[in-house]
Amino acid sequence: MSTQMTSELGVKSSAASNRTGYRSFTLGSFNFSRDEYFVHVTWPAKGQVLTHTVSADAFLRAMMRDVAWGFFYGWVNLDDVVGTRNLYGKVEMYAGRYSPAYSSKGLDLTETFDTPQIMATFKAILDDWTNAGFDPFAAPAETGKEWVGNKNGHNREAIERQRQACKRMPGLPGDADLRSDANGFPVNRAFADVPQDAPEVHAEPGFEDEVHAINLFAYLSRSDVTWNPSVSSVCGRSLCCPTTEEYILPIKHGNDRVEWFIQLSDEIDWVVEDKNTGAPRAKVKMKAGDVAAMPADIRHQGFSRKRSMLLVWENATPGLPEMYESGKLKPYPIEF
Amino acid sequence: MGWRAHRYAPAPGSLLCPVNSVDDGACKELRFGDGDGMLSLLVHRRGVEIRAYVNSCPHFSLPLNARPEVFLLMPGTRIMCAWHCAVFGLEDGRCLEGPAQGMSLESVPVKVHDGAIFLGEPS
Repeated sequence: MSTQMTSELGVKSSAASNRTGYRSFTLGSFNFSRDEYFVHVTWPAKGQVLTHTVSADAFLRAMMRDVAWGFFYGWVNLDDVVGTRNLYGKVEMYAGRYSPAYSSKGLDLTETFDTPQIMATFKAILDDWTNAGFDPFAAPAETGKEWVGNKNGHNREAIERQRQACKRMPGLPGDADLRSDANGFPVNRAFADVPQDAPEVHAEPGFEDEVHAINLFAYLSRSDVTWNPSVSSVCGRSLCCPTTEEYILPIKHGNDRVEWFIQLSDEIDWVVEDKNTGAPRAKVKMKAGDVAAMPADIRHQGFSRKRSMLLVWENATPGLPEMYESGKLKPYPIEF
Repeated sequence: MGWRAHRYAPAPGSLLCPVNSVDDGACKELRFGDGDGMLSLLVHRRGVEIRAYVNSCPHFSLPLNARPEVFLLMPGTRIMCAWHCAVFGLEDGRCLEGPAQGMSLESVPVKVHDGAIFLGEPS
């Protein structure tokens, strides 16, 4: 007998506020509301209701990644206090769990939801709270300040934009298209000097359909989003997910596996913290050509003062989280 | 490479499973071969209608289920990939929302005979 999980996707929300026009949302014991500048998350603990306040632009940028990445691998900390953990079929929502100031006093809360339910709720929040003119995927220099103020329309074109992924590699027949002016991907302002030529491929006779190459710098120069890796080559369980980064990674990612970073251009400063406590672990300045393996027991956040190119290399092998959690695999790839 | 070229792909006409082993409205996983290189198929039954797909999300090429036989079915004959939430219609395999938009599950032809589901011929 197979086990099936069917969700009714019940999104619980209030009527629009008479004052601001925004709706409030409830997910389990958590409540989410926003006003002109701030998002407020509340949860019950020890007979009281705790409130956590976040700037609305930062919250929308963070939630946009959690939604677009489908809760990604492991932990997506929307900030130092609230976040989600992907259990692959279910998702934990937590507040204060990985913040000792809360957890040591029992003021934290973690609840588990069916993935379709929490996804539907997060999408509804994004839809209602993202005003026309504000793109949570964009760098601050490339979008408006319409996140400020009362509710003012929607920006569904931005928040529902198609996330690019490929089956093997962009540009192959039947696979994702390469980016171009014609399909809506102009060269980004920061990469105007990036050559747009294509590699020459001279295959041996009989191998013409088995060899493929792209100009990855040109491909990335046309990225229309920040901090949003897209699958650009698939080889078994090895996924290369390059991305362009500007300003601050809106979330603190606590991976459930080792994640490799290869800095392709410019610089990113990384702040690396203990995954469970947030205690400082390292600061890493990655310059073009640098390679880093982010361990499986940390959370990290990047800062890129100029738009830069980063290759994120993911191991998609199922069962990896259990191997790290059980100690079968060490949280880092090499011993010094 | 299509699924028929997979080293563990069953031959056309192979018996897949009895119809009544798939609950109405549910999905059943069928595995061929061993280990990471196995071929996993997904069979969905809705009344007398049977659909089958390669159990591989085109987003990260991972199975749609993270645990054996646990599938995230949604209202409207849809299924959500357990890894990163791509949603597919089980009528035609098309991605309806999430990170695999523009892609589809790979369809597997099937035929029903005497209460059993068999692998169909290539079209």
